[in-house]
Amino acid sequence: MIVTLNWLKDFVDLSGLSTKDIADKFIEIGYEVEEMKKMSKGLDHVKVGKIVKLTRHPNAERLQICTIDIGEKQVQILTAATNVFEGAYVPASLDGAHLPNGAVIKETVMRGEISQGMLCGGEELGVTKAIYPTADVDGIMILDESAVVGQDIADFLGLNDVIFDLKVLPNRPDCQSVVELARELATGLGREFIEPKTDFVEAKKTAVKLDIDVNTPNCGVYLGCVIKNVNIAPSPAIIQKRLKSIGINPKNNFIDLTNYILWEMGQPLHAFDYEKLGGKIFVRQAQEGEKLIALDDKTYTLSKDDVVITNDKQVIGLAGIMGGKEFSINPNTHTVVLESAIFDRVSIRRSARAIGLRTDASARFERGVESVSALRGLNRALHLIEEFQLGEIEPIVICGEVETKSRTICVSLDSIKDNLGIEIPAQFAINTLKSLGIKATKKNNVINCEVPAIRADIERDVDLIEEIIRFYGFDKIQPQKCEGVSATIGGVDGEQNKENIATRSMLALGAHQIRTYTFRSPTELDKLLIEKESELRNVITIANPLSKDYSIMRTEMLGSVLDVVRFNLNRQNKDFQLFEVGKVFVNKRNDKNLFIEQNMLSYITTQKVTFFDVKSTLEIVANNLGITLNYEPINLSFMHPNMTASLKWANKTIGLIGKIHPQVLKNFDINTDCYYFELNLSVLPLKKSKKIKPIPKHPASMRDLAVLVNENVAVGELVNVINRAGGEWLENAELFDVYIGNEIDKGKKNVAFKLTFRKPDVTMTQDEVNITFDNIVRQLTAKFDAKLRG
Amino acid sequence: MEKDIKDILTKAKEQLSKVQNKLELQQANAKFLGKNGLVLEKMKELKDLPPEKKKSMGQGLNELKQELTALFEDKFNQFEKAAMDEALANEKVDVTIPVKPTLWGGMHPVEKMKQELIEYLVSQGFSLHTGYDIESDYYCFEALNIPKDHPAREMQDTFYIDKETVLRTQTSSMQIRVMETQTPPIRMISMGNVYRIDEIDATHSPMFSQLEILVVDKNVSMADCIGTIEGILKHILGEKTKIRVRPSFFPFTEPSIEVDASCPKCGGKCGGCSMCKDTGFVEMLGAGMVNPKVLENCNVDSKVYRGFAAGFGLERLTMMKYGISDMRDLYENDINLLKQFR
Repeated sequence: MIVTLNWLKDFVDLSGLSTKDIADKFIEIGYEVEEMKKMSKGLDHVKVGKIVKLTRHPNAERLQICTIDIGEKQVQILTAATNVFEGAYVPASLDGAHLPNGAVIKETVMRGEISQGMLCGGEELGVTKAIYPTADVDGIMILDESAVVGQDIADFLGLNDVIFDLKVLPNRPDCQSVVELARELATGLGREFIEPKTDFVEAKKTAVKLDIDVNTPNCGVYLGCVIKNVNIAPSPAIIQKRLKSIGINPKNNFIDLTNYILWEMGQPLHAFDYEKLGGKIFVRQAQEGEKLIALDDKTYTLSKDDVVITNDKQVIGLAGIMGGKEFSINPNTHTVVLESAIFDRVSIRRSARAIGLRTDASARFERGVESVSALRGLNRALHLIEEFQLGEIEPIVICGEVETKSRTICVSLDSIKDNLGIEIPAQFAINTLKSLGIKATKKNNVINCEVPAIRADIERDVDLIEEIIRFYGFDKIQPQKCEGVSATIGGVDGEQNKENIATRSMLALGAHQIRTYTFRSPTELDKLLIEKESELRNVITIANPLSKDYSIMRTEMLGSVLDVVRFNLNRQNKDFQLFEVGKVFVNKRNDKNLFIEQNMLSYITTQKVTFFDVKSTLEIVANNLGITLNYEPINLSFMHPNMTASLKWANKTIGLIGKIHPQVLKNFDINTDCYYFELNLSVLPLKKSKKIKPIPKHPASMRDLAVLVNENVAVGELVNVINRAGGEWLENAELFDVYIGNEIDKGKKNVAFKLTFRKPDVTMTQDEVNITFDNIVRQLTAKFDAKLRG
Repeated sequence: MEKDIKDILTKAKEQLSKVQNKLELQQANAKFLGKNGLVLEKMKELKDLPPEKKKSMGQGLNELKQELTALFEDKFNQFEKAAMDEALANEKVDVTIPVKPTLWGGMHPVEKMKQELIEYLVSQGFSLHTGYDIESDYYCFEALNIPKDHPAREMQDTFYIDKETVLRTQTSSMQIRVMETQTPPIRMISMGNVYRIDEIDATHSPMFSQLEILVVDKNVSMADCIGTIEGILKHILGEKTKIRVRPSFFPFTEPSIEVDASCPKCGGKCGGCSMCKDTGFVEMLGAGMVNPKVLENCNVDSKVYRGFAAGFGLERLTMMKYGISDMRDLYENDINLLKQFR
């Protein structure tokens, strides 16, 4: 929201304050200053001068010597311009000026004659025709006779203003206006707010008939007022100046007035030509396909979601957005209808988006305008019409209801103290509220507030407390640290605990932690060779993604890490291990009706390692997480067919480990082997605090076990059988050799284990060891036709 | 006989001085102190001596035995030491040769920031809840006093899965879930990924991490809110950090504040600081007293309980702390950055 210093001054005395003081105050009370700009920037040392004498330069044919009266003295300035004449008022930039176009002015001597400055054209002053009519003439910008010799050019041009671009928060749509921002500033400064004048005299009897019929819930209230005997002409100078300062080109007195009120009061108005319109106004939903040629000369095709203003024949305006061209104010207009209405913000937002047209008016409706604003805005417009004698005011016609009543809300001094942690003097609170236009009276310990209708954001006591502290200053609150809050235990949840264990383990093993986007490109699944019928293709899709590349929620972790691997290889980083703990998303709902999200650990290495190195790494993580994994060979489209295992725990598949399929690596432009594992942390049990076993006091017995089995028997299955057969007395079975070769039969392999037996409470007898050992051998023989070797 | 003792001692000393190695020492030891050694031979002779002589000679021989034993041990130790010295002399490494250890991996800087914050907050009694990335519209917006078509929804343009399901724009959704099921006192952290429609650039990312705190009890105030935030910022950015509080607006807090921290780069002593653009302060977070409407939405009695909440963008905080100027660096995962966070 742009406001100017001079406009603010209409409503609050800002004397004795620098522009920085004002900007700081705005920031302090909650309005960020996004830009602050002096319009006169570069025009210091530029004065209105009068050419009192003009002579030819004796030594330069093209130069003339001007003697210029600049008030306190006369100066001599040379110029090559030809449009100068004795008696002309001109902008004279003097020694020390640093003009908006970058020129620095210094006293110089040209061919023997002194020049104490420069006469300026519009371009050098950064002035356009919109600001001053002769700005674009070739030569010097000759000023009209109203100029005063010695006056600052910025003053003369009306550029002695400062623009503040303020960020207005969404709860304060009323502050999309100069008036309400001035009220805030006045309160912040502790100065008086000068209410805008809204009084006027309307005709007692209607002379020009106007009927208004509202036929849609999207128009809260519609006020119309006929102004007759108007003379369409340029606006009064003050209005033109104000509009120019906020970047709006003045057009004529009525169009300018609507813009003026929009900015000053925050109420969008519209002016129609009464004669073209006829005496009837209807407000209704548009019919599908209705068309309107708007003020911007463009034709808009409307839908039934748009609200339109019509007469009894056709659409005359797109409600709250833009009027129709045919019915706009033109030089021949004699009678004007001023519209001041409230349109539903959701409806306006949808329409503005649908037809692709956002205007200052629609922007205000989108943020919400209270019905009382329609009346205030219209009254202010009528006051100005009367003040500037723009026409005769007919009685206002109202369709709908304007809510002008204030609401009573109470706030107790205790509640202020409890919420803020400091005591605020009651008188300060009352004065602040009063300054904001809230009638506040104290009774016992309670402040009773009459909140005006325009402040729809104030609904309960905490809203009033915010108003009070905003102006009292948050810096006056003495920070404290929850001294009055009861003790709580605190801690991380079990899921986070698993994540922490996994993270610490991976870091200790030398892997770097990465973080990637959880939304991916659908092509990732193709690059990973995921089959059509795979569950991994059952993805959750974002309805309005940033782009297709970020349009599906990931069902797998591999694509994410491969992207990071490629990125690092391209940066010439080599031989690294990476891991991520992140989420995958399952397209199924849980008991809370939310999609199932699973926390995964993924790991990848580009180091020159074997499957078994990576398996060791995984085993360390699994051990830290308190689980024992089983490995089953598996064939997955994106993994090496013979070097991949699915990870089983408690009969559940909880991950995979293996070498990545070379075609997948190729698809990701990776030219080095990668091993990968992933572990679903969500399905793992929470790690419990362990019961400590007593330290063994009795010696263990060791036996070596070597068996001959068929080559295709998986060692893991042998281990499972040994462990089961060994029972609780078998403490450990450690593989120490797998042999295939000439010394044994073809198709066979020799597998050797070191077995450790121990009983916790007594020393195991040799007999007991033998029985257990024999049982193991028997089971191996039964299951795998294993032959015990000497 | 006394002379014999002296002779043995002299002989032994003489022989010991000639001994060259452990084997010769053993032989000499056997000769003098062995079963058939000279000392024991002499002891056998004692029984033939008269009693008074027997006593003095016995004593003399014992002393001789002790002295010789000591001498031989001494010699033995000399050989041991010489052997060890020789072995040590032959055992050599160049301690300056570089090695290739498996160093710890680097933590992702944002994850490190999370951990630092969590450790600090947990020690103060906060519990962590991570929650869901894909939330229902109700928990992400409506329960937080952001009805449909509220202009505040435009402040944080939202990714939708369907009409009622969104990628959460804030972790506050988890605060609602906790308040619905737990009774105060509540001290909680909600943390995780949040998503907003923003193009990827130096200061924006469509996915980022948020950490929010929420305290609900009978006796909390804005002073507690500001004090807690000040503690966190000092813990993360350093003891000298100063804070500045400005009014703001969020639908779920009232009053709402914006908290700035003194610039971690220039410390407020300005002049050409790119981080704070010479304002001395950088925007850090939004916070405020929980809007009573939000408490009521969770069936918490707003007449009895009050709360405060504050939310940090962790990427931003990380960038401020470590002087990282481009947010994209945090999602590229270049190991040259990561390994600096070991």
